[in-house]
Amino acid sequence: MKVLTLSLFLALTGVGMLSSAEGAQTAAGYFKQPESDGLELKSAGKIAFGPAGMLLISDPRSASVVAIDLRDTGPLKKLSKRVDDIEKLLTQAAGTEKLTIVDMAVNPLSGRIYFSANGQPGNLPKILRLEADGTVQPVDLGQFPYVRMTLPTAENAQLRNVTDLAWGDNSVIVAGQSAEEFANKIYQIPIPLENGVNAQYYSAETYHVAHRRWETKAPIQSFIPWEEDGDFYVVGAFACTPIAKFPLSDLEDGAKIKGTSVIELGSGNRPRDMFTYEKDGEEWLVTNTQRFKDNLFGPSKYWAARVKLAYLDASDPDSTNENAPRRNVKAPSGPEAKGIEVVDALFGAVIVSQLDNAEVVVLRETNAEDPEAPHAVELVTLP
Amino acid sequence: MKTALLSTLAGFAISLEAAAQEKAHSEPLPALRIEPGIATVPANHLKFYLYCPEPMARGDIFRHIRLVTIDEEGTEIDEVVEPFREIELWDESATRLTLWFHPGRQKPGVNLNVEMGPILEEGKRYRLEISEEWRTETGRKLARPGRHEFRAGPEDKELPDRTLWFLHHPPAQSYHGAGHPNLDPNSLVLATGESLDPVSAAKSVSVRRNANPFSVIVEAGFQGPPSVSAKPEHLHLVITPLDEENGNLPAAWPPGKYEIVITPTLEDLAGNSLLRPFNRDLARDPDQEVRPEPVILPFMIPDPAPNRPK
Repeated sequence: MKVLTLSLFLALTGVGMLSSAEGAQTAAGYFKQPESDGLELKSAGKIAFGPAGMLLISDPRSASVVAIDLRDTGPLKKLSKRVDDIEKLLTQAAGTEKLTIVDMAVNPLSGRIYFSANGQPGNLPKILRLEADGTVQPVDLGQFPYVRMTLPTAENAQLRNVTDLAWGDNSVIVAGQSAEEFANKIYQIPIPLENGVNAQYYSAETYHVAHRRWETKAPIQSFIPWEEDGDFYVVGAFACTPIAKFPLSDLEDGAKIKGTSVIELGSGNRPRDMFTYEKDGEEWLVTNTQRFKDNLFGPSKYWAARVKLAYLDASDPDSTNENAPRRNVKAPSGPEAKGIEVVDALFGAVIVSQLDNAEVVVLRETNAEDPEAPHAVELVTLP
Repeated sequence: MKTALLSTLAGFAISLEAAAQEKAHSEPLPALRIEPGIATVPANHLKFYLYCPEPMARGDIFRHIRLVTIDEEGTEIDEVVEPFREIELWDESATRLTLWFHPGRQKPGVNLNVEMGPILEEGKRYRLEISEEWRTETGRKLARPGRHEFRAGPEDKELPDRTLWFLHHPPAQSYHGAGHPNLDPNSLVLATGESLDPVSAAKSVSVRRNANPFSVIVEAGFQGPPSVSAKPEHLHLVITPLDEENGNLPAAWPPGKYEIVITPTLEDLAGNSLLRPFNRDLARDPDQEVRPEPVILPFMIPDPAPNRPK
């Protein structure tokens, strides 16, 4: 088994690119015939970092994903202190009356924390960044090279919202949903990244452990790239909340893929982010989620669980799908939890972005009783 | 002097423009429209479409949308908790929002359905409410709140049954429901026996004339006021020919051999398509995809009879 942590990704993809494309140490080295400048977003959706400081930005209003070389490659400076009322700082920096945070991603090379946001009035797409010293400034996207990758129409349905996106297997991977269909589509855009329609899409079906059914009509909420014995997978979380892995190697465009459900976290949760880390010789997969109802096992609707990565190795029928292990809701930690545990440090975490193997950046609730209360940003050391 | 005059004129032009913008902004916006606007939907109904007069402010939209139970007089009884899947899904024009009831609660036997109960219960009345506080992208207020009252009928777990479909040949006067003021006399009516998803219908149904694509508009039911009752005559598709050379206005059907082509992705209000029920058990019905081919319904418009000699 091989876990694709971000650092390993960077190493793998960097080596692969160096042999095939000169100058691939820069993000633009992964682009083919990029625009040199002038990027304008129609909307700002989910964001993620790829290799060499490449920022991936979903632009759902134009049904596309942008990759931009921000030349933000370090040195690493971690956030020096907790930042309270991040909305106020972002709104001031954006120069808008109001602002809604859409997503947050930390650049693992520089430690800068990027936000996609929607300013009002005008639905103004904004990308802003939080510096190590706690100051916020807008990012002038117009001065960097980029490519805009249009997502193809899949089975008569145009993707209208991206639920998650990530870099993996030398490609940009996108999960999303069309406006009319409650369907599960995965898009993969291989390097070199270029302008236009260049993505393959796959339809995925999954066994939903909690209600003991195979489903095609459930979109992936969040996912991580995954490599195992030379094969490439997407490990995705669904609203209901099985965690399933989908093999993406050697697939034809438009192929249907069958996922294997490996863990069930329990019903009534919306998965939000996923990542992996290693500590004391044990590897963990973490997903933070939002409860629909009041949380019976913690102070916030936002909570996180970690599971031993060994669970993802499962492939035999005795330990997958209808027999996949479930979280023991009566044992949040300890031996009885059997490696599917609640992460206390992530209660109240609305968005989590991984900085490195030991730390994550968290956008956290400051008042669980008041959804209007401002949020704070802080570094959290993983348990 | 000349420069001053020019700048004065320019200032005047700018103030005229500002006045025009202000006037445009002060004029009431057309009402937000909710589809399907029918009075009864199945208890496992999946989605409404909100047609907004302009692109709306995004990012925090669900605070403006409520579902409440009401009594027979329309008085609010209670707010339904967490009914929507909170993901913003806009169409290309950025004016049509697909508002999903949470499918996890609408699928019988699914965990959320068991834990929290279904969103709609058969027999109860509901009102979907869109607050007028929801501003447009440019900051304008809606002229009035969006409202749609409906009743939950029996659950629909069946695929649309094409054996019940009946094509009423044009002109529409041949159809029982003719005479509705919103029905174009050229429209062809396809009775379907149940209400279909309006956007799915528009995307899934097309027409060929003499084997070539032919321009039509497809609507589910009549475009009437939102409160029209779901009488049997509303359970149909209305297919109206468009004259591409004349601004895509409704036109008569030219003589020819026609085929209505219906792709199997056509869905009813509960998400059941011609292919499969929405709540499909793949273990129990692994081979249920039995109709990958489109459904073809042929009809013919004959050449007009030559005038008889007097």
